[in-house]
Amino acid sequence: MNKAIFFKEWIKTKNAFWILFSILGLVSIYIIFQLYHTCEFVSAIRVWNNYLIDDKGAYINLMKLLPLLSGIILAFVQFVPEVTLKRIKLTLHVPYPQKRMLFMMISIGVLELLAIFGFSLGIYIIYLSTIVSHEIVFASFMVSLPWFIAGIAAYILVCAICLEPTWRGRVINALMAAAFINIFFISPFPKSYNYSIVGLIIVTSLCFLIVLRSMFRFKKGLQD
Amino acid sequence: MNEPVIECENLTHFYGNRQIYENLNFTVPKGHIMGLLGKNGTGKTTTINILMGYLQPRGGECRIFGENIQLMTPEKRKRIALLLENHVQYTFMNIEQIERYYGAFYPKWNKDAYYELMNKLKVAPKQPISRMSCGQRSQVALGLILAQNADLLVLDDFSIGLDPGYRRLFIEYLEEYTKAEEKTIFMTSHIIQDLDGLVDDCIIMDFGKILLQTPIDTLKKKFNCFTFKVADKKKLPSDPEFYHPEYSKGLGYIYTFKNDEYVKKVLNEHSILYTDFKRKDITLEDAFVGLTGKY
Repeated sequence: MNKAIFFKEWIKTKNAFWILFSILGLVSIYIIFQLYHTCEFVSAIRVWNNYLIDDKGAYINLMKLLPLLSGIILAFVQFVPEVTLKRIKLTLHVPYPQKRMLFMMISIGVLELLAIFGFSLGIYIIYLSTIVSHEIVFASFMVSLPWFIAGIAAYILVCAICLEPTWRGRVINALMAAAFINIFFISPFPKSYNYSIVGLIIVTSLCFLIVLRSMFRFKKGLQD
Repeated sequence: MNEPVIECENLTHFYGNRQIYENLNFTVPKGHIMGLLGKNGTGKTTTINILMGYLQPRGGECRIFGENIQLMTPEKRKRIALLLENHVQYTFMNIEQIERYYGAFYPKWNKDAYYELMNKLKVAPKQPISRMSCGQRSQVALGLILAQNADLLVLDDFSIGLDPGYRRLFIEYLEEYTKAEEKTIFMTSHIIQDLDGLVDDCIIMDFGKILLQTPIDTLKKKFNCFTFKVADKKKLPSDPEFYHPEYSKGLGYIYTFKNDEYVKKVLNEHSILYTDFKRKDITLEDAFVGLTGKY
């Protein structure tokens, strides 16, 4: 049954997945190309300089909002048709525990995002580690990690917004989501999130409870 | 008496302050086909939503197979096949994919029943359901329902958007399937003539209340339509036993469970001079319109 759920969600989202995978992958390749170009035509010292002294976001700044947009887009693709076309009723009717069904659907979306983010961040980190020291690589990774977690958080929260049956509830959820997501973009400097990142990951995971709340409100038949 | 498959007790629901119904009670015994009839907005889909656990009623309780619908386990849901209004389906899938998906959830899944119907469709196996016509989509929905081999079928307006050919196909398959396998069906439809000869019992809903709950045979035997000509069109009497008396095409119409003597007595009491008084043979649709009135 789990395979069938994965199969269904994959068919639904695969086009969006490959488009987002390509976009983020291409942006990473572009960043890698910029690094390569600087190394080849200026020198690797310039790259070190950019990271250590000028602090120019270490090239990865180009990626800043893409994970957030990816999470939002994937959530829309996955859940808007479920709600507007009333397929959520079919989904909840299938003989499978309803909370677990929702958890599976969200998990599949999160896995897809992890695959997209893992690839784009991964190729960047792998290339960067051939040019700079591991301390700089780690610092660059920790600067960008909150953006990718923001993408996952945005995905989960937009799912909750889509499933919420009333417009008033959606607006409230959207405002709460915006306030929470903002935390991930407060500081661009290295080490800003070193101590809080685990807490942010835990809170992001707990956002699933808001999705469950939206589902319960839907089942109660709440209307505007 | 067969065990009840669906039991609803004192079902009450409001949307805001608008009452849909209050203290609705009905049971659907095993092997019966129950039709829920009513005009648009009288609460048919609301009832389906409550039965399927998508909507919590303001009051009362519904049980299917003895289990409260709000707490229904997946084991019990395996025994219920659901057709949503407008044949809602996962239209991003094709007929093979959707069969593979649903087949994973139902242990009694009958693939042959599904593909027997699908072979009648003139579509490529990889064609997404989104690119099929309304009738073809209804056939996919019907195939999925038959393949589930469920004990209870809940069908919300199964005939909507279908041409007569597809409607006839749907009804024939349903009739054959339910009779052979003693399935129970709970259905709503706007096309009343489709239900004639198909349903055993009916609930007729009106705004805010239940008008009637009766076996179809009883309704057709005991509900009468009397027609008559009048010289001058005086307002027809509003007797409590009359349903929506009216004039149409030069004739007076009175719908009632009472006999012709009663109707004549009332007409005479109101000094209505009539001629050519007759009892008209009526279909289920005529009875429905008589009971609920035209808009």
